[in-house]
Amino acid sequence: MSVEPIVFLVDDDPAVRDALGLFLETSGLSVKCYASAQAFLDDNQASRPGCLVLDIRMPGMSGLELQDTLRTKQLEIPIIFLSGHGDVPQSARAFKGGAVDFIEKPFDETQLLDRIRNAIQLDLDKRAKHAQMHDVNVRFARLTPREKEVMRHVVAGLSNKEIARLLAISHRTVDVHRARIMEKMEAKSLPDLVLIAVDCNR
Amino acid sequence: MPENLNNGPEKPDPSQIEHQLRQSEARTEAIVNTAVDGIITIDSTGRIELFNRAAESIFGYSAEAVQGENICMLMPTPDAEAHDNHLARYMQTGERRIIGIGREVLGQRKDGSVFPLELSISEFQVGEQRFFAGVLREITERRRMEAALRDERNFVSAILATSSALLMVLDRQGRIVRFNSACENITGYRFAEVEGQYFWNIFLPTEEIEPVKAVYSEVNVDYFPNQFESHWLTKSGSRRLIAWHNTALSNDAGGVVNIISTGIDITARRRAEEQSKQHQAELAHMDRLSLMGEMAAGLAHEINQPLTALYAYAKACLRMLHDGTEKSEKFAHALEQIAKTAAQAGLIIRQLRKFVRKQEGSKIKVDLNELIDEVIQFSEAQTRGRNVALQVEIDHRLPRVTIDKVQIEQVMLNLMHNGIDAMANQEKRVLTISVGLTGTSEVQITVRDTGPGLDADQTERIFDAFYTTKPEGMGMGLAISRSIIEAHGGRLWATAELDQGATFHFTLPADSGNSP
Repeated sequence: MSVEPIVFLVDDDPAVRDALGLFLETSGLSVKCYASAQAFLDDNQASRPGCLVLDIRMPGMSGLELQDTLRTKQLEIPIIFLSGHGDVPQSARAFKGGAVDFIEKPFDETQLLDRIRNAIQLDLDKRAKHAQMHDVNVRFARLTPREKEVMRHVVAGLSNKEIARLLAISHRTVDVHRARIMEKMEAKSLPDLVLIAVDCNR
Repeated sequence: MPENLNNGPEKPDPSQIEHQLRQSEARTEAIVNTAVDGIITIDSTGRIELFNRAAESIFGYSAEAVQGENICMLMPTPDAEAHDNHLARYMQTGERRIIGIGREVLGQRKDGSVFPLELSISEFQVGEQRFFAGVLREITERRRMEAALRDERNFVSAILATSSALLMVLDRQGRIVRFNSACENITGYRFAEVEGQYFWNIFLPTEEIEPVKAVYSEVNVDYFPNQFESHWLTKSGSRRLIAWHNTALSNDAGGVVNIISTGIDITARRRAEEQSKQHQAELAHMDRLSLMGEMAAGLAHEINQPLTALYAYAKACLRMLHDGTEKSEKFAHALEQIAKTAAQAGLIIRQLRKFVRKQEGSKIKVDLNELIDEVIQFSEAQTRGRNVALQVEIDHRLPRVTIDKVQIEQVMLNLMHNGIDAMANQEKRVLTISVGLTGTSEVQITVRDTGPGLDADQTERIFDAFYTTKPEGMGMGLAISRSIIEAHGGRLWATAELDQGATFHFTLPADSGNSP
């Protein structure tokens, strides 16, 4: 991907925000800091790759509320919650809401960095997969209706002969359709085509 | 009188005789008419002859109205109907029914009302004629008073018998005269068993007999009314605590005749009160512990933020050093922030200290022996429950100390609980508390257990906050205890050898100039 992943840090405590921002920066990460959940939403950056490091307890919109808002907007950025001690009930709710991870303050350096990198990787993987799916869908759209039908049978594991009989066409015609499908879907082999089909649910 | 009538050796002078006769008659009439009792005479057939004034007022008839009438008109049914027969039978047989014997009969007034009267009848003869004289007295009032008295007695007896309060009446010497059923129920003695006995010999515990006897040897009205609580022993030997209220019945001369004691068995109530007191004390203790817990939680949160920042800044600095970018402005910024954040954290601690100081109770002069006594009573249930033997060495020559009593009790309880906990897995469980004067200016209290003891390292570390050897401990007890003792100008420390148990000592400055 061409866009660099960013760690979005949301914490109302200026000292913690500043210190953590500096620490992540010196650890080689790109960081954007926000003093409140609303400030983060207003910045409209949630669609960028990266992860969200979020204080669970904040005045105004709490970390958990921000998590809910992002979900309703279908912005699926991985979230690492920062919590003080004794936030167990909130943590449970956060995990149910799909939080990736949890870090207790004061945190451990390697632990925090590992979790952040892990979250970023998760996000990148997800985005790559989305992109791939999008790609495959574009290619699939180029197939003729007949080719789509033949592809479905090929992927289902039918032989050319069986497909020919099923569609009441000649063996030779099936061969031609197959070659066109492999070409249009950019599949190197039959297993490759099956994988691509599984990825885009065809 | 009869002598005057017709006897005399001299020849009677008729006019003098008549004169004397008249005088006698007048005298008799006067007596008859001024008599308080009614006097009625009848002839042998029952006809009324004489009917005196008192009889007139008793029956409501005038003498004229009844003279010559049958006496039965003065009687109610069925006596009236039977009277003629009684009279006739007597005249025939001489069988007496009422003559010569006083008895109570019923009369009937002119207005028809029936009333009791006491009647005595005598018989006399004038010439051949036999007459009967009745002397009668109205007894309605006496009957009424007797009935009232009987009712009153029944009423009082019923109250005594049914009252759930104890009621005992003593004579002047302290012997039991009355003893109600509530007394019987509680003591297990029947009244017959204790009647006439000195009550102290039966009911009082040995140690209370002499003082009570002394009181009764010189008892007087000024002593009453009074109230007190005392223990009574029941027949089965159990002890009841009774709250007594005593009053005296005195004679006209002001001397005590009887002592009336009412009592309520307050054994159960007192036990409940004591339990609730203990329960409250325990709650107060729990409150103080949970307040400490809340403060610790609040403190943890307040301190957590700057700690997180400090850690992050420091780590950032290290990375910059490692990368060789320490000359950057960011590095200086981080260091400045470290100093600033640490200072802020320090401020939080200072505010907390100020808050804790404000919470301190006022200090009062206290006898440490008494304080130790109270603390021991308070932990009695715990020491007994855990099979711990308690040894207390008290010093009666102790000077007083000026302390916050609640806080020092807190320290004592904390040390005792620690000791008791430490001995949980020991065969021998003895907790020794001793107190004594060291030099002239300090009182030292020692709490020693027979637990596994401490090693040299532990004797200091146990006073650190959050250091604990107990799975559920917070590790604040000794740290707080030490700060309490130090705030009082004393010291708290531990000495121990492994396998010899641990000993905790603390000192408090003695008040000067008031040594007993």
